Amino acid sequence: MSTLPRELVVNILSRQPVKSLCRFRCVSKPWLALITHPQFAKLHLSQTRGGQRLFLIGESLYYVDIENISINADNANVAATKVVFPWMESETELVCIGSYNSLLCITTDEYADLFVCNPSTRECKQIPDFDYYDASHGIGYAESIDDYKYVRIYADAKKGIDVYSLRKDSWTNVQNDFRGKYTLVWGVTLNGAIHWMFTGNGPTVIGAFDLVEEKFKTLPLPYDNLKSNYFSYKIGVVNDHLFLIIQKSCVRKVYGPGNQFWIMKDYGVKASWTRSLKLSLRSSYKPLCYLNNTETLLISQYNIMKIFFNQKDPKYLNIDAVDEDDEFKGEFKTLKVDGIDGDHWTSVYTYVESLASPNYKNNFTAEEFLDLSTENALREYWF
Amino acid sequence: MSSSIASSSSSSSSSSKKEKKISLKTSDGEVFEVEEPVAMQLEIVRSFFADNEDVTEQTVMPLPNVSTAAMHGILEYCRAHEEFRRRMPEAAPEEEVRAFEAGYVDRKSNEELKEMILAANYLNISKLLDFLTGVAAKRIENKSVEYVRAFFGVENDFTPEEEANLRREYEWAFEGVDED
Repeated sequence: MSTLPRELVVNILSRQPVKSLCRFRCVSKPWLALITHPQFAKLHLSQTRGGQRLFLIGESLYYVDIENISINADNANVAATKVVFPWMESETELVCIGSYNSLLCITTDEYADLFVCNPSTRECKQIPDFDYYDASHGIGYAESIDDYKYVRIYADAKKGIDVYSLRKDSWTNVQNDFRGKYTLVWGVTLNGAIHWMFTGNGPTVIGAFDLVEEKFKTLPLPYDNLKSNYFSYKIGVVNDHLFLIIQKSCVRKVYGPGNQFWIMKDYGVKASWTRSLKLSLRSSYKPLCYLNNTETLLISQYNIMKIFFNQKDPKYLNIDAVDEDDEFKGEFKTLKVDGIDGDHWTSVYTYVESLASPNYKNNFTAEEFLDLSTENALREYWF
Repeated sequence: MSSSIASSSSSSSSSSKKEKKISLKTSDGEVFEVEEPVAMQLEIVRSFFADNEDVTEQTVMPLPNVSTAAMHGILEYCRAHEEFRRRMPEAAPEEEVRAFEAGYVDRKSNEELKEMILAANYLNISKLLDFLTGVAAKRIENKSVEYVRAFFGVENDFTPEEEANLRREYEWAFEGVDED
């Protein structure tokens, strides 16, 4: 019987879905050591390029593989799979208060406890001394120091910003020099920073809290001097780009931008803000992602998911699919999600399938099982 | 490197004037006469001929790590791709390539697949290696732990207690697995 060399075994395993790898941990001790190794997690993510998934919260938790969404002439549908985390007890309300890449921040028991969870591996970590109220929350990854950080920014700027390092397992409090008034329930993470919209006495800005330096910097908006009393703003991330929705926030006729959907094509570059699909003010849409590298945009509106597309000319989908009078020019379909208890869910988020672990000490299993007590021995064995 | 070159006076190699052929000898002694553009897809062959100026048309290059069976599989793939390239030099006919590749691996057993992966790795044909490891990945992705151990020839070194604990921890990952 032929035996494949280790580098080819690593190659084949790095293309496996996460669920298969969770099962294959039981193959042998060296396999367990490989699959739980952070270097393998990175290789796996680069090979599979992290499939996008939706995470739905209803009476239970579910995920949907975006690749499985099928669209035909009559309808669009997809099946959901239930996710159960080890700490979950029935009958408690679960709320997501932040997400980045593969990790979601989920609170339970009316905001009493916070868990950072990877729905792909179902691995979780509880954040100690969690306090939900009077603050906005976010999670992100500081790549250069390989650390996930959970951030809590208080409405009262004098109380500063609490940062919890998942690598160090500890809290620090840093000063908030920014002192704006944030407008979001939770922060939006991209490029090693967590972003909030800030309004105050001056113009509205996007503040980006750098997770390595633990300091704020500002990002430009497409317009200068936008006053918060006439407009409201929503930022988010769609396919690794920051988006901004500008909506007129008062009934009175105001001159200026309204119902606009912008995407920042080059991070931090003002001129790269690009006007995209116009969105209806009244319906508070939340863009989720583009489907499988097409121009077809998946959005949610409360607990309904819609898919925007333009069959006649998909290339121009992004442009003026909805005109100034909120009339749909482009076409859309409502995505039907099967397999949800009571056919009802309340919120939806995107995440990336990966082996990323919220537990930095997880590697003890590798060392315990393999007599490879050093990082180098493990590296030499597999890589 | 030159010490491993064997000379051959095979009469068939000199007969075809119009198309240059390269002779490759497998581990079990069979000599394959391969059209040059096909043989050059094998990186090990290409670099051998690029690095050795004294080789002639009579040179037979030995490939001690490749069996005859694996060589047949390798050449079938490389010839098909050369044909696609010759017909459509600008862009490969993607659907045809996919159909060929699907039919090509369906006929291969796990053992044959692994042998070809080893051969593609040794011959350094990155495109084929990438394709074959992808096929192996697809083949095991929904299989049981026992199937995967047998596929890779991995010995289970857990105690029954250790394995039972791990299985309990990841119980959900064992749902919906294919029959072996």
